Amino acid sequence: MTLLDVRDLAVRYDTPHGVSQALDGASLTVAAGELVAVVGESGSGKSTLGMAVLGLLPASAQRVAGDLLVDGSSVFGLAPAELRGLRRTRLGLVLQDAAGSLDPTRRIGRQLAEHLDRPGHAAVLSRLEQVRLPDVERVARSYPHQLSGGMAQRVAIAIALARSPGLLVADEPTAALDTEIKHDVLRLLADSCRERRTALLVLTHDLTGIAAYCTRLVVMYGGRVVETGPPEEVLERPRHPYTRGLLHAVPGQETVGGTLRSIAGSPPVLTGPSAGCAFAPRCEFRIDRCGGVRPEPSDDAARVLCHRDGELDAVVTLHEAPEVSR
Amino acid sequence: MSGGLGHAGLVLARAVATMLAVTVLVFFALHAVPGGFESVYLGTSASETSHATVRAALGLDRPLLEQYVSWVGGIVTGDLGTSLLSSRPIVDELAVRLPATAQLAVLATVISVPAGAALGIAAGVANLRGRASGLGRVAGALSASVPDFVVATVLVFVASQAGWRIVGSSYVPFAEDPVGSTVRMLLPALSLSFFATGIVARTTRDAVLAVRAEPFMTMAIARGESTWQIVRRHVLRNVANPIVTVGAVNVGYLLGGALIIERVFAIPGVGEYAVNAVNSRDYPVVMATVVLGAAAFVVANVLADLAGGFVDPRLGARRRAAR
Repeated sequence: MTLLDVRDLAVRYDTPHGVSQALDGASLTVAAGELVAVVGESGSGKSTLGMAVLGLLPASAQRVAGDLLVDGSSVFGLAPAELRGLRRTRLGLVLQDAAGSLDPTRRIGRQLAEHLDRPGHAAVLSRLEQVRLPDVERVARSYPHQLSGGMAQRVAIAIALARSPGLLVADEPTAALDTEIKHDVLRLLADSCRERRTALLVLTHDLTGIAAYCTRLVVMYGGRVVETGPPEEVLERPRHPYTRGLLHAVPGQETVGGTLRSIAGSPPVLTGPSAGCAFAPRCEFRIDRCGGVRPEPSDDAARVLCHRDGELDAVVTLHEAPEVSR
Repeated sequence: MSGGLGHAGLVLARAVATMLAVTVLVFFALHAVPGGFESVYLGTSASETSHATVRAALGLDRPLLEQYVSWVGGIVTGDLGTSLLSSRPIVDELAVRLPATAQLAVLATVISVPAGAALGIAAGVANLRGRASGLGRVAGALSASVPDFVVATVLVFVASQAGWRIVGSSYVPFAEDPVGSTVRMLLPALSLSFFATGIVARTTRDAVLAVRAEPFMTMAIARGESTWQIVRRHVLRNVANPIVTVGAVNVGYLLGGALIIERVFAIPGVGEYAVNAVNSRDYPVVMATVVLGAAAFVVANVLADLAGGFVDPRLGARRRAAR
């Protein structure tokens, strides 16, 4: 059954500094137990999407169109008490700021215990062991500021998974961590979710870093999902020009003799629905239609959002762009 | 816990330095007042020689620095000097009056801190739920801008209209009749706490809003915790520190307010003593009461500072690390 169903969701922020369209018709489904990575630059709308899943959009955010369903019911239509119940039993959240995610005034053990169905010292220690923390007795006694970022994130994961939610949203869970720890934490997230049959929605800007830990990649740009698919497929045969650009921009992915290229220009700040393809201004394959007509997703599972989907391989060979290897 | 002691030492050293500065200011400011202490006795028409005689008798002919040192030395050994008017030791006078003022200030604190904290949290939570009511702001502005004596007068009027017999009955020392004394002190303490409650409420509300921006609050909401759970588990502990701090700062307001409230309710406290001393230019008494007030303020802040480390573990650690 579809656990999460995002349908053409458009969300706009109305702030004193102006209007910005964070989501511009984003569509995405997540099935139970799926490990999905949403990849995009800052401003792509992925954080707004993550917060919307939990019904946590700020007051300045306004749903313009579309819907977001968890377990078949719209989070926008729930009464406050129902939304609380949904969050408590079905959803979990992990943020980038691991240390800040924990209450600074209370010991780790107590913070974890109050979210366990059967609290108790032994249960707390066993949960801390499950997130592969060393010296769990000491950790349980510690205050958040006494833990490293990696340890704090493991604690945050333990708390978020305390009630085995159906879906865990992790917003840049490793962006603030050291490179060596990053992969441990990502592996922990993926393994823990798999054990519990919890679906995982990781929001990240690190396309290649996350690929090994997810079952599906979702690429976002300009508030829309532009391509989705199994990680090996997306990495080896990217179809959207933006995905191609992202892969070229990753150090270590260039072939010998190839060059490391960044995508020219910067991500758009939309103030309303994009007239055409939001990536068109930066796209080297742009044609007239791209600027004025909104692309519709391709009919296959990849749901590529590009007017030139299918013709590009020929064009790329012509341009002799460096080949992407994984 | 040598770290904790180091911090305590620092706090105490700062307190002593503050008190020293207060004595210097008070002493030299009052001695710079034209006319001199002796004119309290002599009036304006006395001769030069009688001035000199009284000055010598009071020790006012000694160098100013010497006078200062002996005055501060006296304070340290518990001798606050002698009243020019009554010629009695000021310490004895204060011993009679201090309990009334202390009772008033403590009672006002006991009222204002919990009431202000509760109002502030309620306002903060209402604001978080998007129900930022103008009522809270109006109440806050009222509490901050209506003078104590107006509040006192209104309270007395309302209480007497309600037939509360206690209004108008005279002061009873706490030691003689604790209950009766406290009941009689309620109206004065309420009047005095009005302003302080507003300040505590405002500070608390701001603290709640600041805490709201922290990621751990987003996490609490994301976990589906109810508003009451969030307040109890996360908000209370995180706003405790600002409340304790503002409570200590309020001691200053309360002492200042006590001057007026003691007048309105005819309570024989330090405030009334100080006002009378200023009116009659009884300088030693003025100096003693100012130093006493400053000491109360400093002690309250030292206690708040030390309490902070217990309430917020980060603060304790930061101080230990910074040492």
